[in-house]
Amino acid sequence: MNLLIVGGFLGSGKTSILLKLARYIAGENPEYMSKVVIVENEIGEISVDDKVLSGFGAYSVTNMFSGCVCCTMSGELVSGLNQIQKDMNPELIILEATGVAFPHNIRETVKYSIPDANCRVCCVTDAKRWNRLLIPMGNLLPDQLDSADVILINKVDTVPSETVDAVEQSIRQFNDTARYFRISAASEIAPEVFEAVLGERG
Amino acid sequence: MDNKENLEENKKDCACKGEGEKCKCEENGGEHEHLRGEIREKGHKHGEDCGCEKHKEHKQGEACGCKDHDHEHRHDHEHCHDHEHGHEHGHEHEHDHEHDHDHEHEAHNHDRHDHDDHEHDHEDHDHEHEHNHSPISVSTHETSVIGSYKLSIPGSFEEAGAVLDERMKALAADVVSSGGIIGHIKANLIQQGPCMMVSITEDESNKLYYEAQSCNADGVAIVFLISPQRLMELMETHFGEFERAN
Ligand SMILES: Nc1nc2c(ncn2[C@@H]2O[C@H](COP(=O)(O)OP(=O)(O)O)[C@@H](O)[C@H]2O)c(=O)[nH]1
Ligand SMILES: [Mg+2]
Repeated sequence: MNLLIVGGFLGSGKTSILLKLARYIAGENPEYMSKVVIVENEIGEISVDDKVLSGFGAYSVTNMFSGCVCCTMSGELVSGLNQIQKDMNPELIILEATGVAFPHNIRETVKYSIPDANCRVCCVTDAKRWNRLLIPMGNLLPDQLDSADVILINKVDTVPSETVDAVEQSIRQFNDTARYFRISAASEIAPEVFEAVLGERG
Repeated sequence: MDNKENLEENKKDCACKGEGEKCKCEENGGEHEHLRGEIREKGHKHGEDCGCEKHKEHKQGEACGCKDHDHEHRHDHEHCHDHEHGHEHGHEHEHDHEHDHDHEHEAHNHDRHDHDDHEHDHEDHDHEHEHNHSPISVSTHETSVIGSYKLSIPGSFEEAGAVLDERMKALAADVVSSGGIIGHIKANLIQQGPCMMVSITEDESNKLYYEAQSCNADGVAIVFLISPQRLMELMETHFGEFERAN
């Protein structure tokens, strides 16, 4: 099982990036696209992103559980992933975590229960709101970065580059081992970003 | 989980219509969760009578007035048909965190399952208070406060879109002026379009065509640092005039 976990705070741009990533994968290899399953995990009683993603492409979108899978719903996560693998045998499962999830916990759960899973974690951060949210959301934002392989500093179109520098410096305090990219999901995202996010596949 | 066929079967058979509930019967190895549509390890389906004391209390189709299920329900009311259920939607729910996820199951692609053949004995539902099918509700997840809304907004797509946009911005502004932090406030607006009713009384069908003149807005407001009560008040202010969308 190849699993890409896309995490990051609410509204940081995960879905926007996923739309582009899906298009990138489709453009690169249309057959591969049919082998990608996107799993949406949203909190609340109403899901929004799954409809948007389904509306955009011919790939499979499931919204198989609700409530946050990083903690209390971990059993559902594992059985859900196994079910997808069994029913659809995808080459890649992309999980958009809830904006309050700790992707590290998800990875740990998966590693423990599905030991042969190849798991990558991409964390999306919001250059515009990082500084404003860091203190009030101090129990959430830093820990969401734990064990991310790639950190995307998104929305760089909305702030001056000095702000992006400061944001990156701040973020690096919490994870200095990930690969960093500055992007804007509002415009083109370079192929090397997607390649880094996807990592080795197969 | 069992095979797919079983899953589909179970979803249909299950008293909770696949909502997943927490069961605490001793006979079944202590507290355990019924996953939606899952056949549990000890071999009885969710909603099925497993013979144990607890399960005698709420067999398939029966009300779950039992202690073990006394958490506040906030699953999607679409699936509850007309029966009275465990809460008045549209007012505040304080959740025992343990149960927080049990009913958040809008997920699971419900629309794919047909619950119509689900045999519910509605007479048996004996919950104390009624659903009011409110278009808005509030729940919590850890430190986040989540407002959910399902609104029917009259007018064309453009008109409804403009109204929704304006109301969501007003809600956002009020969240901030109440000292809250916006996580994400988002909604899908879907236009209701051409409709057809198919009607059969003998062997031929009659088709009645009509046009639904409204849009449905389904969304959430996930916020922090304001109380669920306050968020409910704000949603009532901005969304209160709309009917619940089906
Ligand atoms: N200006 C700008 N807006 C963005 C960018 N990425 C996302 N957004 C907007 O930010 C909001 C949240 O994005 P979304 O992808 O839904 O975030 P998610 O909650 O992390 O999935 C949406 O209104 C997006 O249009 C970006 O790079 N630049
Ligand atoms: Mg999203």
